[in-house]
Amino acid sequence: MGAILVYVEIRSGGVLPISFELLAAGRALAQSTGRALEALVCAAQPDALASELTAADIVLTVAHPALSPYLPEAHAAVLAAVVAERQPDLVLFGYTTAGLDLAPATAARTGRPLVAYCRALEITATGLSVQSQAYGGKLMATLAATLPAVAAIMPGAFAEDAGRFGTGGKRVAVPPPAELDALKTRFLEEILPDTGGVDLTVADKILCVGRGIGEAAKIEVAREICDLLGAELAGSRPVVDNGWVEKARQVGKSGRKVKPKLYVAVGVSGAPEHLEGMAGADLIVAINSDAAAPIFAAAHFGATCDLFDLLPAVAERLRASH
Amino acid sequence: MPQSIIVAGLILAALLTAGYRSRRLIAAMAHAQPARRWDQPWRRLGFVAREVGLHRRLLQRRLSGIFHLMIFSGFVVLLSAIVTDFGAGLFPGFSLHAIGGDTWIALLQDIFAVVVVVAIGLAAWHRFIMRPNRFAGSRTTDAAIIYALVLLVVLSMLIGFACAILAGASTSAAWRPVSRALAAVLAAAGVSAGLAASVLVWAFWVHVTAVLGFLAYIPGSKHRHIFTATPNIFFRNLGPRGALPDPPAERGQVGISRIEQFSWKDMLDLASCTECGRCQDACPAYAAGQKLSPKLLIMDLRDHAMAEPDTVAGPLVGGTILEETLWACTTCRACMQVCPLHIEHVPKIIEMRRQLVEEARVGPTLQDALAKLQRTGNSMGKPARQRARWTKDLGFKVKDARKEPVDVLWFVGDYASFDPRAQRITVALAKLLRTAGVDFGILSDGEQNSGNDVRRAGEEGLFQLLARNNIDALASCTFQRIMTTDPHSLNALRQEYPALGGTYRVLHHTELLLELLQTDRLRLKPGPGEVVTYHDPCYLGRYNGGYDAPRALIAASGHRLHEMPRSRENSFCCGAGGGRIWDDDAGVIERPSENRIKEALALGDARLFVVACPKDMVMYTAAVQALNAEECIAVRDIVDLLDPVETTPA
Repeated sequence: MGAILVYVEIRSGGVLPISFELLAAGRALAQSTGRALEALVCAAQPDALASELTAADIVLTVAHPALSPYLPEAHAAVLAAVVAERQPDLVLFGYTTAGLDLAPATAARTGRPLVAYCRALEITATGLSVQSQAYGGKLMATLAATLPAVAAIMPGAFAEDAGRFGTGGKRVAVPPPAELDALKTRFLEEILPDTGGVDLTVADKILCVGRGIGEAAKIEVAREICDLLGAELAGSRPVVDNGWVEKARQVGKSGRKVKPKLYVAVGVSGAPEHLEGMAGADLIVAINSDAAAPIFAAAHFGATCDLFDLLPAVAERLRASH
Repeated sequence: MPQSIIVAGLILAALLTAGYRSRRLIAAMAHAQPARRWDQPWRRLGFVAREVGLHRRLLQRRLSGIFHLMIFSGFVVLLSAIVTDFGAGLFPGFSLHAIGGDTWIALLQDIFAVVVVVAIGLAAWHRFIMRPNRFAGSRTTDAAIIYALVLLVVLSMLIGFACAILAGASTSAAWRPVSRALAAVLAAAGVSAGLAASVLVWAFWVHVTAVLGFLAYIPGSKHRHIFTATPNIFFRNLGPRGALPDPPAERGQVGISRIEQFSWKDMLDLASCTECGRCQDACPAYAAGQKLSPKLLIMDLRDHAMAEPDTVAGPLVGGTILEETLWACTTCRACMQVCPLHIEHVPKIIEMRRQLVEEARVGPTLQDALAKLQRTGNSMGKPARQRARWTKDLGFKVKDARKEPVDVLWFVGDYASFDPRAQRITVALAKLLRTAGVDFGILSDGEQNSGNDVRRAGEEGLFQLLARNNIDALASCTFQRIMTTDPHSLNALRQEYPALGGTYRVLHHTELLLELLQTDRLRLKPGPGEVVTYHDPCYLGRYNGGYDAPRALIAASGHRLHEMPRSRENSFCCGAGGGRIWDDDAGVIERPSENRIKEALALGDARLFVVACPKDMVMYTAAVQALNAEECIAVRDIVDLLDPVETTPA
């Protein structure tokens, strides 16, 4: 019986959380079917990273300078060689940028079926059965595939904690395939997006001020609440136009499109261009003195009052709870 | 050596120099692609007469138009003096005596010599002292050299005439008041008849050399337009102005990436530009501080086309012409509307945008909109079945034109269907049409974006897909005419779809409403008589000539129209056209929409900013908010001004 092989994703010299989520998924499958769980680390110096992967029964390491930083061609070559050599029943990738490169490549090069967007997996007597999300999560599809197979798993589908712990397994160093010395692509440089020090798209909580704030000095009130909430400050277009908040913090069509867990809109009227940038937030709270403001159509909770009456009171309550 | 041989030698040298200096232009024209511009020759000649002879567009800029007319007419008259000098130089004894060379022609020469000198002085004062911003980026030295050469030509001629009079050699002294006066001045300064006779010889040679120097200089100068302007106007586009050229199949690629892929007419455009900068002055992108000046675009293309083949570094698209330059254009057509030479800027920009799209060099915001259009048929990414959702709260059912015949098929458009600010107008118009008893229906989820701005963003394939879907949907309906509130849809349906097999009678809602008023099917209550101003949408006005219906409706509504300085053909774009509404405002210092609202506010008394385009409603509502001017001015569609008498007329 073949093992379950997890591809471990590394960025900036550290193991990404998705890898622990994959190990958690793999651990559960391995336990229920009596298979071994293997983790594959491809890096220039994989040993230190391998020691973090205590949930796996066997940690396979491939060391070669072409493997760090991440280069799709090099990693795909290693995967093709390792999968052909060890014949695992199931190869797990995260549905991430790297997973998008490697899962189809591995499936194609080893002649295995690929199931993507997986949120749940099960190995049955007939093969692999997965729950895949479609249409941005509006639909769940149950798919069946024969083993051996490749699966790409949605980030966040499994709790990473279960993949962080284990007794630690055997370390096996796999020799790098010869292909790595004759690659057609090479890494030149990493260009990080210039977000002016802030990336609203990854913020869990955002407090956005709109034109209703009135003047630059009043933004301090909002800034204080941001600190208390642990939220990032953002601004609508007019606020950014006026230079009260920097451009990197603009939310909307001509700024950032954000999807935080909490979005507090303070004095934001809610023009369609603004809603386009934030309507997908999990929880939207709007404060606006105009009850007819379109922001209330998008908000889950709203307060129609002068924001300068409400904000100091909120700040005080937050301070008390700290 | 006899004089005639020297003159002939000088002429030959000048012609050879001019020919050598024109070699790159000739090569560029020879390598350019074909264009069909020979049709309707009489109509073309008529345009030439109006544009060249009557200076129609030139005179729209009163001051420089008059200067140009003075110099132009002066040159036509002084051509007779040049002919006389060269004739006499080549064939001793030659004169225009037989046709009045010593009488009325002499008088005209004297008068127009003064006219030209005065005009050169005024033009130099205009260019170097007044320095209007439209000359920013134009080659000043070139202009100065030309002024100097023209002065040399005219002054050497006048001094020649005066010296001929002093030397007693003039046969036309009685008809030359200016030359006589000049002769009197010279005589008073102590110039003898003998000295005058030798100066006369010098003046002749200076005159001949200056004229030939001018001829030799012209090919590298903006004064090429002396030769190219007339043909360029003759070969102007007579096709529908709102239809873009199809990518020719033999090109083998959708866009243009190399200069020789442009047509010979494009090359003639480039060779004709006089760097006058009227286009730059009218351009909303230039005013916004973006990296686009239509003038510099044409000059850069020209320099690229005329450069020695090995000296051009980098590609045409993304090199000579920057990506941000191409994306800044709103396709508003203001540049083409003011160009005295009818240079076609916008089609060149679109051809190069097509190349950018082909190479996937498209900004993320625009890319997102195009992807949504591909997926859902609208730029908002809304499901098609929500397109008719605005009809829900009307209180009556709007006909589905796919299921029953209608008189008026309403092509609603994306913004008018989905954007809450524009949707409000859509609802109001539906009620108005019902009150007037109009039999109308919609395509509902059968409608997709018309593709007008998709095409102008350079996404030719997606445009054809959208147009095909709409033409197919319309083919299944029975209707008399199509109405839309969106000038962009109007333009596509009226001017672009015929080439794809969809020919319809298309009306803007302002035209239909005016018809309803004129046939008494719609009666209005007298309005409150406020002072309003009106913004001409580019695709209704400049592209489709819809200037009068909106104004007639405003008058009928009982409001008083206070026009902005830039109105009708000179309307200033809101900044949303040509796909700009889907792009971000990178590089924009002042948004065109805010520039325009300031223009309206400067009128002082206009309380309503009236528009006739859903995109204008969106753009200007945001601009008024951004300027914090809600207390001063409100944005309204013309539909908002019309308050109908509720009884349905019999």
